[in-house]
Amino acid sequence: MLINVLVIAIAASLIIVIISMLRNKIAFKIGFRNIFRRKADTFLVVAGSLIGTALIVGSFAMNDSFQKFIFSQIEKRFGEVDVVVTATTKETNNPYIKHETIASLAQRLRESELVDGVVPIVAKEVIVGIPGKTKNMEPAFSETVWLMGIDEEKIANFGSNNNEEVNFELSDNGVIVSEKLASNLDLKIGDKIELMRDASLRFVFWAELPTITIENIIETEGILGYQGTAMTNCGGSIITTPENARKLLEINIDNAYTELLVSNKGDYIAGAKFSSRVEQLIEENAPESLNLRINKIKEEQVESASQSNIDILFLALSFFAILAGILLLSNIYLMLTEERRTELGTLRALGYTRKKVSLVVLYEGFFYSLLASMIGVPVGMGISEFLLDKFVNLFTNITSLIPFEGASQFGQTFQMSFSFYIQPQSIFYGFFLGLIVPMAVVLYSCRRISRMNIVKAVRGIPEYFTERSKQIIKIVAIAGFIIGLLVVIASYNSSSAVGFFIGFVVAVLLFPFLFPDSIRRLFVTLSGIAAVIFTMFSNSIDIISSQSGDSLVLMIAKGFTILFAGLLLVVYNLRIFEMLLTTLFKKLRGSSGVFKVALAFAARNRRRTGLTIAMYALVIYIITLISIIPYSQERNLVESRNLFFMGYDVGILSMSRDNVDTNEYKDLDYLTSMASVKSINLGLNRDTGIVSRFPAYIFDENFGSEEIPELSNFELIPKVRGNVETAGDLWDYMRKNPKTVVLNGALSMIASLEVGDKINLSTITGSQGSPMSQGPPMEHYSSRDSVEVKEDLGEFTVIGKVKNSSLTFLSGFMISEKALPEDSLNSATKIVLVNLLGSNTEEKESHMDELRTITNSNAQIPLLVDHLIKLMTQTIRGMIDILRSFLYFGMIVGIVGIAIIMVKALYERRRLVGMLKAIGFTKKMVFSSFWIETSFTVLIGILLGMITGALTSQELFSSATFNGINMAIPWNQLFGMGIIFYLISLMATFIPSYIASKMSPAKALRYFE
Amino acid sequence: MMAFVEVRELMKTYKNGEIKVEALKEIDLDINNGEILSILGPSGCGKSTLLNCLSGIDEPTSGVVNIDGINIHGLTDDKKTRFRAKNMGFIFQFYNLIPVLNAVENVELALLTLGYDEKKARKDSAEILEKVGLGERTDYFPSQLSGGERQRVSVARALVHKPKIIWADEPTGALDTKTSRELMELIEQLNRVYNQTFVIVTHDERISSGSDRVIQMDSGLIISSKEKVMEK
Repeated sequence: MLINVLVIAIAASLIIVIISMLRNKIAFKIGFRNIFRRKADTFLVVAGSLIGTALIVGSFAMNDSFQKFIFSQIEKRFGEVDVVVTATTKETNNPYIKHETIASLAQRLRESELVDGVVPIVAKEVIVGIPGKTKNMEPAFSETVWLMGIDEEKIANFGSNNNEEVNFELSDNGVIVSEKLASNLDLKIGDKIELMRDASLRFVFWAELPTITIENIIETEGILGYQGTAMTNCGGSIITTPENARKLLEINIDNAYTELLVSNKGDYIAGAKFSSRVEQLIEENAPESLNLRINKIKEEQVESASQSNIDILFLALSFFAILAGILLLSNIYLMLTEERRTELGTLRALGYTRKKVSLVVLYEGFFYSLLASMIGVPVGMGISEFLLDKFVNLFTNITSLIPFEGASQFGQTFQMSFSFYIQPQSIFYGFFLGLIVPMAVVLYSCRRISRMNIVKAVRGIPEYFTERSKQIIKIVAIAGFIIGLLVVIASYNSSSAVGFFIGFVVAVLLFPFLFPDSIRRLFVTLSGIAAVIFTMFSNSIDIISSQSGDSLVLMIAKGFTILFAGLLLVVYNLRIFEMLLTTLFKKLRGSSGVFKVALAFAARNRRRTGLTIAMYALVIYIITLISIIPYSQERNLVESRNLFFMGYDVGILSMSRDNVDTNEYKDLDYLTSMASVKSINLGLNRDTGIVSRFPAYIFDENFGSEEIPELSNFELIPKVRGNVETAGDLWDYMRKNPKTVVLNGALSMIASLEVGDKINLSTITGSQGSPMSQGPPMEHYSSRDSVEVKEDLGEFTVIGKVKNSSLTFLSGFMISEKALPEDSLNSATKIVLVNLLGSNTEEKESHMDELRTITNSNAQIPLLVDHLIKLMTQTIRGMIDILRSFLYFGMIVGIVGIAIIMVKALYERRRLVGMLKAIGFTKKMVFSSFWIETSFTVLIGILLGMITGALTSQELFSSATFNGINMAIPWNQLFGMGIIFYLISLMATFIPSYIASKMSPAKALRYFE
Repeated sequence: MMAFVEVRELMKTYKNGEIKVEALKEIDLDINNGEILSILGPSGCGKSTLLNCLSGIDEPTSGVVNIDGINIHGLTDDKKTRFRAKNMGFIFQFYNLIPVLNAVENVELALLTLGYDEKKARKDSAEILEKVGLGERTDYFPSQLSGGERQRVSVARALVHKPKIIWADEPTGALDTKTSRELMELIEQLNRVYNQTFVIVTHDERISSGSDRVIQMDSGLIISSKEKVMEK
């Protein structure tokens, strides 16, 4: 619908512009020929304008590619299955549906115009394995798979793509297996495997498992890839006839099925939208003897895929670059209208109406925008393809580091199935937005042009605001100031932090307009400083601090305020920068004139320089933010190394249902210490009756290293602080005083618990229904019954917590095993923690290889803390690298912007350059003056972006969102990036600077275009 | 006595595609120290080209220009530029003031280029602006000054470093008659005080009336030279 409206709007606009061109041939001729007047100008204007389109298209393409990948996985998993019907009989509660019972429903569905396929199946999740080894359920020899019995002829007519050409001529115990299963268990056609229809049969040692023969191996896609609605990650599929399936599952009811699969009209995605109507149809035609469960699986999957919206992330990042692009466009058209002022003034003098004169600029701008949008689309697609490639490589590299079997294989599958894709409407939206934004700026410029004073325009006299315009601006600003104050009062009364903050900042920034022009600069400066200080310390105001962790709008408002106030401060005080630098360089005899001219051109052209500084600052600001935040997290991660396993190098986890046996490791000489923790869920009883379920780690008598983690990582109650000197002492203290707990820092915030608090804990057996609310790792239940409290453990004291939100595997309550009854730990998962011999990671890694030979044979996984830290830091760095690459492209805005300014300056100042050379400026001096002017603007923009970015980060890190993580600034990265950006900007202005320096003074002085 | 400026067989030919335009045809000219010389002629006769070649901001096709005994076209570009900075002043038809610098800053630019100390440059510039009648407007920007005032700033800039010779290309071209007359009186007055050489290109005979000598040009040639001894 939206796209149709846009198509009509764009087509109508194009037609209107074209008709207008035909009716105003002279304006069209002038506008059109202006494009070819200065090719370098045209090139830069188009280059600057296309960046917005490219970033928008790039963001859309990123989203489309991710969505397509998810959709392709949905297709692989469900094919055209849209709705799954399961049922139990009302009389016997039997989960099987007899063919006769649902025949009329199936027939009714087939006749419906909403459905193009119905097929009943006999299916269940089962365990298969190498004969004799299935019951042990060891990963190397067994797999949990999806067994599906399905009629061959019914598949053929299921859905619109009838391409399932699989031979179903199977013997009595013959099956088809998926390539995945064959690969996992190293199977080939003719091999025999055991099938265990239920995991509980493993304990029935006398029960003999049926053997099946593999008669075909296929890549399961579409309906054959269906693996049930639970979306558990099966190790593959087994497909056979319904008769064979019933036999294997021991279903002794003729023609019984377990599920009815329905395909809606349309392809595998488009059909999902009919699901609700199909559901209604099924309910209306369902046999009365059945209790139906209708699962609209496709609709749910498609919805969640559509909500992934990765484009929002990239669009949010692009926002700053696009905003910088808009500033660039404003600057371009500001300069364009300045440049064309005399000739347009002449046209006005010759009798052209205001409208016709503005059409000249409109047509010229229209051609630039059209060209920029057309080129911007493929450029944006190129960017996203490049970034997606980086993303795939990152994902593949990361999965290769994950120490789980199959992770690397999954990475390779991802690499093969993930590819660049963009929907036609995304191209159109990008093109449309890319066209509309510059056109809006052009229209604004046209308005300015139409209002010019003819005499001043013809004589080249600068036009300033008229008294009337100044009055209007003042009235609007004062009105804004009063509204701001009213918003502050109203927000204070309604406890709205966002309103309070924005109202206050607006009032502060508009405050200078209450004063006359002559002293406004002083008040703008004071207001800018006040706005920054207010933002930085806003968390000390209750109304703001209470909401600063939750409100994204508040966070954005704060960031934007710092940036905007910083910009105001700098732009209104460019003369101070000029004065400081002129004073600094005045000792450079002979060059002080060069500095004077260059700095004056930059600092006294406030609008033009201000817009360019803003462009640079915007892009650098967002890059600074996305550099500082992950860098701080990464540092936090590295610093958490010793807290991850509470001082141990390796955590050993079991992949099977058996817990890890410490006896298997106790004699290994390369293990310097060993302990175990058991993970269980406990209930925290609140005074309100609410019970919070949370993970607890129960440590044994061996747990605790003397040296690490350092005790400084813990915040302890004074009584304990006085009695312990090392972390080892702390665990000993807890063993001697069992009714004590130590909390993880993040959990203490989530659970609102502080050191010294008394808490009531209980063991629980499970939970009934859904929690009231959850904030992982906690779930909150309304009553003790809903978590099935087993035994009250009494009152415990929170004696300490891990400072900051350090990353730890043991992210729950640490409790000594002496505090709990022995039987409460029967169902706990045990994690064995060991320290490896060696003083550095390399030495420890060499022992890891030896350790793996033991863990692999026991279906256990050893996790070396350094590997995990490396994996996580690589993930963070990789993602940030991708985001930064995207933004580096946005930097082109600034580079093109400065290049345009200097090219325009070259034309504008030709005669001045001639004069300067005549009065004694050498080539070098002219060249330097251009570069000094560039440097002044670019360096201020870069520094402003970095400083405001760092201040915003500081503000963010002081909020609850960052949970007390310490801010760390990657100065090297930031300065490196700033220097590179600066040097590229200098390079971009090399040509105009060089041309200026080489200019013959006589020719330059004679120059009239 | 040797002339302050000696010009011998000066030629300048422009190429416009295949067409050669002889802007200056073997010009010989001597200009004395402290003289006000006006170059008159119709538009396109080559008078501005002659001025540009004499002042060293344009290269002649052939010929010699000796100023104070130095063949300026034999110098490298940088040396020639420095020679200009030290010994010459320029007054242009369209003033060519830097719009972002105020009057005193525009004037002091000529001194700063020569490596003057900033304080002395500011003091000298203010003094010369006082002398040209703009003592009250030193901090005005060009856009805040009238045409005549802008040209006075331009004159001040040309004179502030006390050059030996001042080149003026249509200095009154953008001014009204009254202002033009005032400007010429100012030039004559400064010439009397500082004994500097002025070479003025103009197409207005009234402007040349205060000159010591007027040369008439046509089609790249000097066709006459008249001294106004009586008036002087």
